[in-house]
Amino acid sequence: MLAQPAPVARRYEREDELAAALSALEPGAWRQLFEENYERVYNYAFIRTGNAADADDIASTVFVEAVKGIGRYQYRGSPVVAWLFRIAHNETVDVLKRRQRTGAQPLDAPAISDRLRARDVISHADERADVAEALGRLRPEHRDVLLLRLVEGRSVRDVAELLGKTEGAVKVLQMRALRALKDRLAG
Amino acid sequence: MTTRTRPAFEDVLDECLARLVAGEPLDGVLLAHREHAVELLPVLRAAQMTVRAPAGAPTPAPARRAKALGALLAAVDAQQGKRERRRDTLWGWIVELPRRPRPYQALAGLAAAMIFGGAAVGATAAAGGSAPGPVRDFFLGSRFVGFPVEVRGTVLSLSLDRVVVARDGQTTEVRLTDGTRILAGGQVAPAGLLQPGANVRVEAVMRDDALVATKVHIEQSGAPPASPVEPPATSGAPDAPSQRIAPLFDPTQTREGDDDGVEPAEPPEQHGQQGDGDEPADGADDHGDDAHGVATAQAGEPEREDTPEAEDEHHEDAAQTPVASRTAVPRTPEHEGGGAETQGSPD
Repeated sequence: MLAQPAPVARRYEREDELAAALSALEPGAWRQLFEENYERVYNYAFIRTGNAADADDIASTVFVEAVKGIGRYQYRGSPVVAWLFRIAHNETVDVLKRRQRTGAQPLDAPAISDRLRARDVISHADERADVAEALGRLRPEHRDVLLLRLVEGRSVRDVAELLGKTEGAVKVLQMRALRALKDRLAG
Repeated sequence: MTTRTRPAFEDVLDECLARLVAGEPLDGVLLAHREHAVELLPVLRAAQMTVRAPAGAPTPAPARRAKALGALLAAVDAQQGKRERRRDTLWGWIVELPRRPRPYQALAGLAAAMIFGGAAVGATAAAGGSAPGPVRDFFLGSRFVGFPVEVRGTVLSLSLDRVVVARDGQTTEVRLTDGTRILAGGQVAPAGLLQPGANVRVEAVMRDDALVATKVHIEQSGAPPASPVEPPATSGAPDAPSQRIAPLFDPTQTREGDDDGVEPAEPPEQHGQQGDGDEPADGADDHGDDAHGVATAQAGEPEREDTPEAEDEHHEDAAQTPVASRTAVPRTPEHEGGGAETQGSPD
């Protein structure tokens, strides 16, 4: 008996198609969203929390929460991933608040072990660890705009939609954030 | 000066950031904006370090990744099951409707229209079928012609918002809206005067397919309750105004209305002659009534002490609720107050 070839999963190229398929709870669409964004969400969470374990938890939770919240999601032209990162942002904030409440670790300061581990895996260790630490000390909106714009490589328009600001405001915000980051790095 | 250059610098910086993110080296980016190079250099250096920062993040462990994917697909499964369970109920299906493709929404709209339209047509057909002729005439007359229509009979039962009038062994349910006026001897009567057993003439004044007035004339107050099974003695004379339901405008009945001091509405032609075509159907009556100190019942001018909400409700009723509704439930004595039926036909 000949083995049946595995069905080729449909790939959703257009945002509206992807959004519709996600709303319809098509597993293929969710798998595509996961494959394309898991690492990005993980990186975002890691840079925000400075903790690999937290980043793991957040990255996993974000997708599950997205499934739970898809019933309320309505595609209005902005990328689906913008919505995903909004969930990631909320989850990260929750983790940081929880951490602050329990006092287990200082807010936004990566644990020493994580920092050391991060340094181990960073090819340009010192400089990049310093960046992560400096980012952690920025005001949240400054850090968000830099992460989205520079780490995620999002356009100003996307960032504006994500943060609920105008494009002009995002440009001003990223300029101030970079100046603050420069000061932190210099200090 | 600063305010002029700052926006320009923001735009320049944004362009530089886009090029950095795209992988262009810092030197090349600075060369393209030499005039801002001094100001750009420190911030772009910080930006470049940030752009490269993700490389410092540890790669998520494959096992954790697989676990996360498993959790995601399990959540999708669970959500699908939840949604299907919800879909099993009609309410769930309706709730899900906005998320369905447009053809489904259109089909649902069509189905709803068919259901409600079919119910209306069915009710009309049932009413027409069970009581031929006059009932249909009454309905058509009230719906499509601006003539006054009326029904006579004995009050079978009474509630706050409706009165069931029996005649010839059949009942008609008349809704009492805020605009309904109860009249006795040409005067506005207290609601308490309307009791089961009273002989009444319910008059509906329609104009432009809308109910503009409802009047319940108490013709014999204090009369003994009539048996709804036994029709009044006049049932043998189909043309007698006191028995038949006037399907169309009847000048004889208009004169009869004068006896109460309240004239029914006049046909549009007569309004034209009197020059008050913009008034409600019984607008001409108002003058006469006012002369006698009688308030008339116009749906748009409730004379009770209505709350604004009640007025709104009333307007809605006046626009949408016909004076009498019919169902096909045969009336029996046990049906008092509940079994509204087709309108009595002149036997």
